[in-house]
Amino acid sequence: MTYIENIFICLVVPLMLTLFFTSGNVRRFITFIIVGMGVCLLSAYITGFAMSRYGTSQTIVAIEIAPVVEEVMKLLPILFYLLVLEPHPRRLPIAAISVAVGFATLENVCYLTENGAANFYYLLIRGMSAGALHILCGIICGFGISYVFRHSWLKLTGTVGILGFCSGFHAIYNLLITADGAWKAAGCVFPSLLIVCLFFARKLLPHFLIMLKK
Amino acid sequence: MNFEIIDNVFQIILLLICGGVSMVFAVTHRSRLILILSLFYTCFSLGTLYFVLHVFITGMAPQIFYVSEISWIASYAFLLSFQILRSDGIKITFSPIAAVLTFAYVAVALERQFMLYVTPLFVLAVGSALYLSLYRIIKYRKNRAIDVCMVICLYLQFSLYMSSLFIRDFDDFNLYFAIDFALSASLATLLPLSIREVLEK
Repeated sequence: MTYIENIFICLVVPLMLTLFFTSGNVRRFITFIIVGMGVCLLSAYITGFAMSRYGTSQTIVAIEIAPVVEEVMKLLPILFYLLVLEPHPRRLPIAAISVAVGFATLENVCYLTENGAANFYYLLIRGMSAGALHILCGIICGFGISYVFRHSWLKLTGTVGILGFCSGFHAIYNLLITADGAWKAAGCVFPSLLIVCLFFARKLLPHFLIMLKK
Repeated sequence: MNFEIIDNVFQIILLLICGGVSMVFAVTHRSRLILILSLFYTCFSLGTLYFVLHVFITGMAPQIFYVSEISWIASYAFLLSFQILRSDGIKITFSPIAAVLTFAYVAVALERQFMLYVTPLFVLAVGSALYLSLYRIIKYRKNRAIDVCMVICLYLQFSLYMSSLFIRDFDDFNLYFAIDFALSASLATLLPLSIREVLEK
């Protein structure tokens, strides 16, 4: 059994204390990391509830329910930030990525608590796959939401679209890592690979990105 | 080999090619319209990819909740955005014929629960796209090829769901797969028609 609430408190308290002595972007970044951890906790509750509601195994929940629940939960604070606090759209990608970082951190710490930290190779793979996947979804969600909210005709449909896109990615990843052999290897590699591709696309296509910002 | 896998793999490959081509075109021609079409293709093929991988890895279709359907709804949301962007500047009013045809589609989809829990979302996205397309065909009368193709796609999607309610054999070729092949082909046809429209502007 994982005492996720205890782990959450242990990780969040130092971060919250840091908030008293920080300001500006750093404070915003730390706040969203805390929010991400909170979202991870709530997602665990919801998937746990779904597991008992449908009476299914952990594997089925991981590949059929958790991806949608997690992506919806990660999107909600971003939408709240955007609609209630109305920040500049430029700040959204960082907010979404910070939420994803917080989420991935708590998830990985829970994984360490359950499985131990003895196997360095396995943990490195875990960090590069599951951690990278959340960051990838954060990048897509952050940049996507900041783009779709610039156009009134795209707000609703674009948000649904981004949510579906992220859920699809997440579900395919979860499905691949539950398999063996080449499928698992592909699942471990593709999130990091796509982040690298997005990074180079961003560097190589600045004019296209300027067109999108208009 | 199971025909369901052959059909879906064909769809994934075809739509990923369309997604790639449309992305390249969107970047080279700085076209927002084609970019949205590219997102549509990518989302649609992601949904099908998830379904195929699920069947391939676990040996059965998803049992509780279809992640694929979220991706397909997302793709139809992008298709709706595509139609909204095309209709920018056109005053959309009430059209009785378009409304009746859309209502018939929506009513059957809701009654038959095409997408389990997420049917209302599917109906909202597809119904709006269908009304816009029919409205443009009836009233606007310009660049109607895309609208006609889109109506065909949406009705093929409808027929696919309807046929899946009656056909239970997914091992051999049957009407269900014929409709799915036609759907894939008509979705792919949207790309050259859209490119032509962008180049004409």
